[in-house]
Amino acid sequence: MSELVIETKGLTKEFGSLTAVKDLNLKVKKGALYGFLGANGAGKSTTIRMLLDLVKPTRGNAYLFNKDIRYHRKEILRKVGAMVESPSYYENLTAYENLEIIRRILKLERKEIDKALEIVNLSKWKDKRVKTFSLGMKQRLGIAQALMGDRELLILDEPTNGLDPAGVREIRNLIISLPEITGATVLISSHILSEIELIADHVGIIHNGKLLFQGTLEELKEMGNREIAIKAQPLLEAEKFLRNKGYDVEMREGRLYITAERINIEEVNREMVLEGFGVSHLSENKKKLEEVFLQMTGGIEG
Amino acid sequence: MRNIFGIEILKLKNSKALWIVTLAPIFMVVQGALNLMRYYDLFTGQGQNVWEQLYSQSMIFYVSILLPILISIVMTLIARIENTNNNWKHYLSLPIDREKVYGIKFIIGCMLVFINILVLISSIIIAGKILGIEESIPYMDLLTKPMATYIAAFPIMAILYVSSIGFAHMAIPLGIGIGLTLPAMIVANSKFWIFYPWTYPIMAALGGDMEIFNKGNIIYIVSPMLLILVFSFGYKRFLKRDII
Repeated sequence: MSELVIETKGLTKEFGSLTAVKDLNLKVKKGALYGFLGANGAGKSTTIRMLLDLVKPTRGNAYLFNKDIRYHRKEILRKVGAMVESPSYYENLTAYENLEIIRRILKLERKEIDKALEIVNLSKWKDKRVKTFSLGMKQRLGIAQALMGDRELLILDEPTNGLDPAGVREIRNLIISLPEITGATVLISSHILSEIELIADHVGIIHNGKLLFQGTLEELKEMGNREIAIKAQPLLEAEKFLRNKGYDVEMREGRLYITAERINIEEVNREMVLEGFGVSHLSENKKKLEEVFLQMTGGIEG
Repeated sequence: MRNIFGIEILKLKNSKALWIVTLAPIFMVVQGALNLMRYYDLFTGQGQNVWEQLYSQSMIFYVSILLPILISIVMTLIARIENTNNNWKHYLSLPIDREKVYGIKFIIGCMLVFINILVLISSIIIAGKILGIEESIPYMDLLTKPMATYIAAFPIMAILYVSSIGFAHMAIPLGIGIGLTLPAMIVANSKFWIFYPWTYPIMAALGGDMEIFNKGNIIYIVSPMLLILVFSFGYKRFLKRDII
C-alpha cells in the first residue's frame, strides 16, 4: 500500500450554522498529482486551510506525513509548500527579496532562491519589484515560494485563477513538470474540470462540503451510467424488444441508446442477433469527465 | 526571534509612508519655531524660558493631533503588510510561531513611534540652536517629557495595533484612530480625562509647566496596565483566529 502524504479523518468545519466541510476523509498518496475538484464554495479552500492549520477544524483530524497538523505544525509545514487561493507577495520588495523571506524562515542556502527562480523562469526579473509584475508572473512567484527548500508536498489552491489562456497553459505545464523536477507530491485544487483532467492523475471531488469521489482519473471516468449506441433493423421492433428486456431505451436520430449503470455490450449484441435483428452498429459512448462530474454533483457545473 | 525580527524589518523596505511617518515631527517643530519667532515678545516678554516656549509651541499640535494620528498610520501600515495580497495566509502557512509574529510586529510598531519621538527631540534641539537661543539646553526636560509622552501613548499603540490586526480593511483602524483623536483636547480639559487614553500623551507632554507628574502619576500606572490588557486580548484572539 502506498504511503499517504495527506490523510484526513472525519474532518469537519462549521461556521455558525453553515457546514463548509463535512466528515471529509481525504487520502493523497505519495508522488500523486492530486486534483481536488469542486465548484466555488464547495469546501476546497476551507479543507486546504485546515490542512495548513490556518483554520481549526470543528471536528476530525488532518494528518500530513502521518502526523496531526495541530500538534506537529512547524515540523510538518517545513515540508509543505503552499499557495493558498491567490499568490502572496510583498509588492514593495523584489522577487528575490520575497524569496529571501522564505529562505530565512526555512534557514536555507542562498542558492535555493536562484534554483526556485530558475524553475519558474523568473531569474531575469529577480531584481524587479513585484508590484510591476503581471498576474502570471505573480503566480509563478507564488509557486517559487512554495517550491523553496525541496518541499515534499505542494498544495496549490486554484493556481490558474484569473490568468489568460496563455498564462493558464504556462502554469499548467509548470505544475505537470513539478513532480518530476522536485519529486514532490502535489495537491492542486480547482473548480475547472478540464484543468484537473489535464493535470492530475488522482482526483477528489468535493461538493457541498462532502467528498463524493476519490480515486484515479480512469476510475472516475468509469463511474456513473454507461451509454450504448445501437443501429439495428427494424428499428421500432428493436426498441420494443430491448424495452421488454428491461433496458432503458431512447431513440435519437435513427439510433437506439441504452443507458445503465452496469451493461454488458456483448450480451446485448447476442440477444439482438439471436432475435433476428440486423445489427449494423453497436458502440459504447465513453462518457466525458464533465458528464460524470455533473451527474455526480447533481448537475451543478464545476 | 531575531530571524523573524529581521524578516519584519525587511518587509518595511522601500515603504515611503514609513519615512513620512518618522520624519513628520520635523514639520511640527518648524511650525512651532515659526510661531515662536512670530510672537516672540508675547511668549518671552515676561522672562519665560525660551526653550520651554519652543517646546510648548512644537508640542501642542504634535501631542494632541499628530502623534495619535501617526500611531494610527504606523500600526495600520504594519498590519497592512499582511492584510493585503493574501499575505496572512501565506505567512502563517510557513513554519513560524504565530505568537512571535504578533509580538514582533507590535514591537516594530512601537519602535517606529519611538523613532518618531527621538526625531521630535532632536528637531527641537536643532531648531533652538538655529534660532540662537542663548539659554542652556534643558536636556533633562527635553528628554524626559517626550519619553513620558511615549509611555503615556502605550494604550493608544495597543488599541490601534489590535484593531489594525483584527480588521482587514485599513479604514476601520484609521477611522478609530482619527475619530478618537479629534475630541482628545476637549476631554483633556474635563475631569473625565483619565477614562480617555487619547488624553494621556497631552497630559504627559503639556500637563503643568514642565512638571511631568503634575497631572498625576496615575497615567504611568494605567498606561502600561492598559497596554498589557489590550495586547493580551488581541494576542489571544489572534492565536485562535481562523485565517480565512
